[in-house]
Amino acid sequence: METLRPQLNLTELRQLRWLLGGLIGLLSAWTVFYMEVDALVVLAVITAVVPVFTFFPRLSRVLPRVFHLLAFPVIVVLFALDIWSTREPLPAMIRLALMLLCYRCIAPRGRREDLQLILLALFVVVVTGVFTVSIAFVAQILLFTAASLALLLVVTLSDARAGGVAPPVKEPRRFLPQLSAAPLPGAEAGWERVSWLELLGRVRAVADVRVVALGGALFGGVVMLSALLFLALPRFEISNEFFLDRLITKSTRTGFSDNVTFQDVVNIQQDSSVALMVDVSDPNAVPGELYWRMLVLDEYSGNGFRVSAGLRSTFQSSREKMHVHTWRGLRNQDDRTVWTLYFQPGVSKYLPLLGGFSRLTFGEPQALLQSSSLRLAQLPVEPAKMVAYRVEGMDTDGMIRDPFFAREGRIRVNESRFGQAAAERGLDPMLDELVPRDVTFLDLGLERPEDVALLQKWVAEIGGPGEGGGEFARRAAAWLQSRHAYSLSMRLSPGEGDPLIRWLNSSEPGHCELFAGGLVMLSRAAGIPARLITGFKGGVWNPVSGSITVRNSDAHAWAEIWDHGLGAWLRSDATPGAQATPGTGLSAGFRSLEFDEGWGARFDGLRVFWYRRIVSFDQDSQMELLRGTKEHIRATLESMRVFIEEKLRAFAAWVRSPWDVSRVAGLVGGLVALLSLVVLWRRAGRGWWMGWRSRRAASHRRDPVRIEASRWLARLERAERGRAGAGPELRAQLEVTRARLLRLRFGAREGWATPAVVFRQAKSVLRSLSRVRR
Amino acid sequence: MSDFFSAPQVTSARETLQKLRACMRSTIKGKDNVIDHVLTALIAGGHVLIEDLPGVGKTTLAYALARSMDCAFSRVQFTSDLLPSDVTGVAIYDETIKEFVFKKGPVFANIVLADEINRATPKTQSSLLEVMDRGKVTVDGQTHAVGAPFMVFATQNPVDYEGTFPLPESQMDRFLMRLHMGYPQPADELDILRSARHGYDAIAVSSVVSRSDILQLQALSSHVFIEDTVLDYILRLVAATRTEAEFRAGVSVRGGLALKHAAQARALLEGRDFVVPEDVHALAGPVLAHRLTLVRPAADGTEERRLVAAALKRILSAIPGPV
Repeated sequence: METLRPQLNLTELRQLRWLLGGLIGLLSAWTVFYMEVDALVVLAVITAVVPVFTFFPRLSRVLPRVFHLLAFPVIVVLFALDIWSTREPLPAMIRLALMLLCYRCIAPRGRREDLQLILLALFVVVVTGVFTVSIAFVAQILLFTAASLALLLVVTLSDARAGGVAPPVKEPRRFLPQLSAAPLPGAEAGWERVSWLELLGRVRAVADVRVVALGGALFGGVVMLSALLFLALPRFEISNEFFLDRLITKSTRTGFSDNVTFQDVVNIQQDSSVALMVDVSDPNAVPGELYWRMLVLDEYSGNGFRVSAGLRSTFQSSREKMHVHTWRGLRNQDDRTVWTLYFQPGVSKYLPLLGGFSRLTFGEPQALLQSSSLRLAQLPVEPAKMVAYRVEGMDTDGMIRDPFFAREGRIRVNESRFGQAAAERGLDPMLDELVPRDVTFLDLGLERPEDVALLQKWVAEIGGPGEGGGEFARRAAAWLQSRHAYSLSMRLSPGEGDPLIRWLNSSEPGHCELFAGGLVMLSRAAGIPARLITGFKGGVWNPVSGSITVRNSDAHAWAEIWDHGLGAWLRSDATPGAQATPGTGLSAGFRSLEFDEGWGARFDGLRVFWYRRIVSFDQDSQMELLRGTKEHIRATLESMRVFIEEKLRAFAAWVRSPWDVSRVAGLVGGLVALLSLVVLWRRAGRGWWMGWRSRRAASHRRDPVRIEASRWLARLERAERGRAGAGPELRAQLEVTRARLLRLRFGAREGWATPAVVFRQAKSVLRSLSRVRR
Repeated sequence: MSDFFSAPQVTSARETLQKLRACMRSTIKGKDNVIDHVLTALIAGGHVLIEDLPGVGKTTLAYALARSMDCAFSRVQFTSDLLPSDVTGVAIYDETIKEFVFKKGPVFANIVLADEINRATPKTQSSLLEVMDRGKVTVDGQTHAVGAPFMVFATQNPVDYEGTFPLPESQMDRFLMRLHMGYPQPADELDILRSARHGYDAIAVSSVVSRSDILQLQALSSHVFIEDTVLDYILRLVAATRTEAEFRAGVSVRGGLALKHAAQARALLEGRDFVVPEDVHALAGPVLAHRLTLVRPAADGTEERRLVAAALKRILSAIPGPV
């Protein structure tokens, strides 16, 4: 028997299964977009093919038998070739899972295949979850879970509807004949002819609001409980624990490396994705100019700059993975500002920093290579997922103080070996690690004497080295900007010689690397040590999350010039439009930044909120959150208790106060009025309310009177079953009531008796029936 | 007329039908169910195909119905040499008035018994199409209305197929129901043996209802209320026959309408002014089965009917009615 609410038939259940299967396949496949795995081709195929096959299920029947026969062997061969060529098992396994998912989504499915699909999708989703920490991923996994539960429910329902006999789809070879040979009643043949709008309308019609609400509430409850557990559980890094990070080693599309050729930084600028998100404990401490230093390049190679072997050797590695890394050089103890940086994968292994720091804390234990002299830090390998780190005591003034270089002055560093020099001069042994060997801050790296002569000529034009590098840098930058305009493209006049010198010798526009490189070369020609810095400049303020967003398009190159007088490296940005003035890094506050508005900013803001929740630098924030939640619950319960107690006290006081006739009369009157209201509601109000809703019902299906009558009919039938001992009078009552209920349920409204009266009668008959023994 | 009629109308209809039912039951013993179906078809304005062995009371049933309601009854024995004009009538030249005069055929009655209809040629069989559909006959461009009410009782023998012409699907679709008489129970048969003395012509049946009563019932029947979920139930049953792989073609739209009209008539017969799912369920077999043909041909007609009935039963059990 069927209640008033219609049910989906087997055909519709199969159609729903097909739709949910396709949805799950797509959802899980799309999570791979968040990973740095080379699977764009498979993903593109899935994105293009699966929706079409899901929308037109008949296509799955059109696939020739040979396709099903060859599909699995071909996928296995592709997987073997993938493993053999890339030697990376996990990415290959993900690609294998995607290929299998794709096949499962487009080939006909039975119960077993549906379960396989869920398992495959789960594998992809879990692997992606381990490697990514994205809020969009959370939304996807919630959708995936809901869709999987719905699919399992539909699979169970359709099996039950088919009498427990699901059509087995064991092998492709046997599949087609089976489907067409032994169809289930009213279901199999032609189920692929789907009108999705009609089906969704049917699903909407059969969906019981109460069941959906209950299911939704249960799902929400489980999600809430999981969220609480997630907050309470101690964090650990799965990839760290199982060395999985080594399995994904794909390098980024664009990114900073220690060998920058001209145009590299410009290429990074083409990418507008987020590179870095920064939380600042005191937004007013944000400096007016944000220069995120990542790399110091000293050696000129003719077509760009690179990190010399000597400079690279200044990076000292910590022996073990640690949460906290401290600075071994000077410490900026006074600055209490805490910078929390969420560094996106695929940018670089060099961590963006504004300058030196006193303490660097990672969300997860990390090995770190530091160069104290360069004020740089790098990870051993490029991270495959977002890296969160907190920096305290960070220099933001753009001056990199360097005590060793201050002692050495303008001496060519690569001519001395500081190991001996330090011993001779009795330097602090702690500074041993600061010794730069083979660094070439003064090397021009030019082969042609003509080029050197040209540089000397330009230095003379600029006015010679003057006093202090900072002053020369300002003049040199002005000289460069007077000769060259800014452009993202690089044009060189034809001819021989070094390309940078040729550009300097021309009036062609250029990009930041050329301006920075030119400034470095001019400074070196003037005898002032100089080096090229790459990283990011600026960032925008996200008012939604109260954080700074730095995009890859903010990639920049600038120079650092040695100022002997200050004993520090001064940032100097010769690119036109840059306002960088060496030695100025005054706090201007977040209001000096450009504000990021719009939907993109809201999404980025959500990501920051997510990162704040999932990244735990220590147990304190986690404990604080838990304490807050606990406190909130306790406070709510306490206020409820206080409220109830107050009311009870007031009631007790009211009872204890002296009674007189008027009070008694008032009380009795009140009770009578209340009772009358209840009786009135039960006698007339409820019926009127139901009648009013019934008249307004959009269709018979939604008519509350018909729904209620349907329930009473079902109850009476259940109660009557097995009660043969009911007397003739009761049977007569039952028949009359049933006839009236049937009229309410199936008859025209004009012929209805008063529904409330009929339902009361049904209730009475039901009670009488329940007294009869079975 | 609205879709709701007053309680006195329902009561009056019920009384009329009970009289008719009682009268027929007194004549045809032990076939209450068949009588109810025939009355349902009559109220719904449909025609009945009775498929059974000779001598089980098919003709008597038709005759008893005609007599119970004081209607004109005619019987046509279909044979292979029967011509359409033998059924519908023919225009004959009248010497006295010097013009063609239409001589009405046996179809001009209220209850027409088309005996062994499958023995006539398809051409003669199809002469019934128009009259079954519209209650009219067109001869030589002139349309003549047959009696009202009008009901065709066709019979055919399911076993003897020698020299028969199976009814085409379009013809089958015109019948509201296909019924089977079956042998009576021994007690009922004993009663028949005791009481029957002559052929059906000698059966003394006095009319208990008038033709106008029947026409009123027919008019009332079309206004019996059908709730949306019951309509949806009919729709799902019909749709299921169209997607069932065992059937060559599902039930037509006419078939769905027939089920609806029959359910309305049954509701009236039961003294209700609204249809319940039970009405649809009870009539689905008689109304739908003869409109369905199997993809794979069966060994004989009986086997085919059994397979169709089994498939229909499966559909009925798979598609629950609303409660």
